[in-house]
Amino acid sequence: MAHITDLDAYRRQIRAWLAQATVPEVPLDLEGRFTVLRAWQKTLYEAGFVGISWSKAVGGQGLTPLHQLVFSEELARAGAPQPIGLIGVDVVGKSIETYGREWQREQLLPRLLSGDDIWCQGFSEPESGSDLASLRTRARIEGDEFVINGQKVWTSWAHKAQWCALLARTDADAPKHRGISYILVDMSTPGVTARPLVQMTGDDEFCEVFFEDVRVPVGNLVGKLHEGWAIAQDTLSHERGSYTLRRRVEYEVAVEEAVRDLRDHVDETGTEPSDWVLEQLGRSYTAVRSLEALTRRTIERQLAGDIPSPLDSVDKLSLNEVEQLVYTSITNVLGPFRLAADGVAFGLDGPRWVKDHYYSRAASIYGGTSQIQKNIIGERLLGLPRG
Amino acid sequence: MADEDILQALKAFLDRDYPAERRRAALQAQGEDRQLFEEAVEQGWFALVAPEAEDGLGLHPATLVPMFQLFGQRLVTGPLLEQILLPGLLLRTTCTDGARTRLAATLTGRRRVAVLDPGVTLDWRAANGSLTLRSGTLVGSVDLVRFGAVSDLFVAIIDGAPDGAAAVLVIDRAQPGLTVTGHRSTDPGASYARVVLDGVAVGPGDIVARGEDAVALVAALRSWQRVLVAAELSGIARHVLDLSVGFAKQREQFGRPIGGFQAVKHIAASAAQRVIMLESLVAATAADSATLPPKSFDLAALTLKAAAAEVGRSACEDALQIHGGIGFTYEHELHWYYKRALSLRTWYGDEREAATEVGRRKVCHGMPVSLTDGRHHRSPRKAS
Repeated sequence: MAHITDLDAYRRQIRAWLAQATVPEVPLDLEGRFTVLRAWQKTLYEAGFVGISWSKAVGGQGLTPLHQLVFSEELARAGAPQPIGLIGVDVVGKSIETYGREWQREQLLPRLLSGDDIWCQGFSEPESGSDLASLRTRARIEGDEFVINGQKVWTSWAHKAQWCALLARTDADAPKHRGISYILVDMSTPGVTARPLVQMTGDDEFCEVFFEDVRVPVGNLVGKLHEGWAIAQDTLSHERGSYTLRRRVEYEVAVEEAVRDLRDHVDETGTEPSDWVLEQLGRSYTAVRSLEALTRRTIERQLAGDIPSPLDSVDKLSLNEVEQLVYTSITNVLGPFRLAADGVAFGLDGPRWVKDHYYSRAASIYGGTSQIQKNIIGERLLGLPRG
Repeated sequence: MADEDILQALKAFLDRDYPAERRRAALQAQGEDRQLFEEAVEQGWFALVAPEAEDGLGLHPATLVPMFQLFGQRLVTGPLLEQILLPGLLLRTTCTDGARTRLAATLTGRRRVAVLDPGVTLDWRAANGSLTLRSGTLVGSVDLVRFGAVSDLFVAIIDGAPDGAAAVLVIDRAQPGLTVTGHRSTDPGASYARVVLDGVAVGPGDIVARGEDAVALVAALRSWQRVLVAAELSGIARHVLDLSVGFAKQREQFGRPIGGFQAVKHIAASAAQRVIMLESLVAATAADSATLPPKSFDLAALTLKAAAAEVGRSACEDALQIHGGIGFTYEHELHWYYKRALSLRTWYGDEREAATEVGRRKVCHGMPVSLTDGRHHRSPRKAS
């Protein structure tokens, strides 16, 4: 475990770097945002701030999850954005680092970290959402190739991605969890089509992806044939744990921004908001403090190697409860002023909070719905019988 | 003695000497258990946070946090805050000899102390009375004084009357002009009384702190009570969750354990998520308490109380639902936990009062903004 003074020194090093860095302004539109944040990822990578807790052999820094957290906090403090390739960095990449073949780790991971390659996660299907293991995308072996046919959906950044971590059925006769393989697919392979879907927020960040006779070398298999389900669990664990760590910093920033706007409003008008408005802010603040406290345990678990764990589902469920509470509370403060996009209530930036509020509704769906998390918590953490 | 040893000793004592019958007897007597009081003295509970100069152990109050969690889990009741926390905190200030001697007498159990603090509630403060110190005379009343009727020493908190500075005083119950009237209590773990001070003479020997010192002391008293009440609530929440999970595994309907039905399982899972998050916040607040500046600690304590009030209540209500009819009866212990949770929930601010005060301190009192001082930014997002 990193010594505390070591972390303090690291924090100072990050601050010094951020102070001299050109932090980009991030456009609201998706295309602009993608371009700017991809360049920003490259800048961060070259400075040694992407893959902080990854091994040096694959382009990381060989430090601890605590160092990663310090960096996320300092990035937020500086008002600087996160890099774009978080599905690669926080979700699928770690599984490739653990289970991948040598060539995959050596050739793919450095480009994943630098943002040269954007990754997507081909898990959900139109008929396989919560029941992920029922997935029907098929990969049959012909010679030294997989031939893949099927469809994925809710695949974030698929239209921008160079690579996809795909779950496909390789043995249709085996029980559903035992016939799945974890395959890396180059998105430029003929037969791959990504069609963006417009989300409630107006962004077309995720896609449906079609695979028609897509031929991929068998060397793109991660782990063993038919044994992809365990790797998928590992990936989902990262999605539930590491992602929670990063997101919670963003909620803290959001609450502090709302506090600052309200405080400016108080200073300008000389009137205190009503108790009810203060309560909304207080509840949001309480929620983010609670999540911060919970993620201290997540880090302890990561340092102890206690992942995957049913506690990942406690993290994910907490993340979605807190995110929805925060953005619901803050938009409640807007009242009817959320309707006039440029209206300003208590100095709050209406369109920003309305968009974040829309986005928060996804939190209880992606990465396993809150109902799936409750099943996992009930059965694997509390030991209640399966239904 | 290390904190862990203290906790283990307490656990061993409760396992050995505090069976369910004793707990129930105390709960039917508003937390009065003379034997437990004497055992607490013997075990040295009252001396834990008192300064070494007063024969205390001089431990940081954060040591008490896991103890109070255990009190909550085992539903140990009585004047625990009053005897274990308060004198120790008060004796850390340089009070006058007269005050010091009387407070020190609580450490050996020779005196019982209660607090006259109109600020035990935020929204109902006006209804709870007020105290004013005017030219050596204390006037006013406090309606909600925990263990007021069974105490012989009062700590009076004057937190900034219109005409004067703050003060913390000790008042003997026998002082002329002081009357105590017991309330009928709905809290199985504590009695409550109304204390009226009709011109009680205050001398220099009654003063614990004045002015800025008193302001800081009052803030610390309230914050630590919030933290320990929250710790107790988290212990209650943990216990009722464990009871519910055990019950849901055994109780069968439609030919199988009810915990297999998602409708029941999800109540338990959701409660577990909230209880675990609360336990994390209790631990984090205790860990941070030694290094946080006072104002930040006060905010952290209020935040914790807001979280604990909510989770303590809701975990008990979820447990009642999972237990069905039996949980609604005296045949089961659950109702005692629920009643305790409801009373601790209100003490020093329920979830709504505490959250409102958190919001007020963030927005209106110029607390430093902790994370952001930079630009507005948008973050990359994901779904899938």
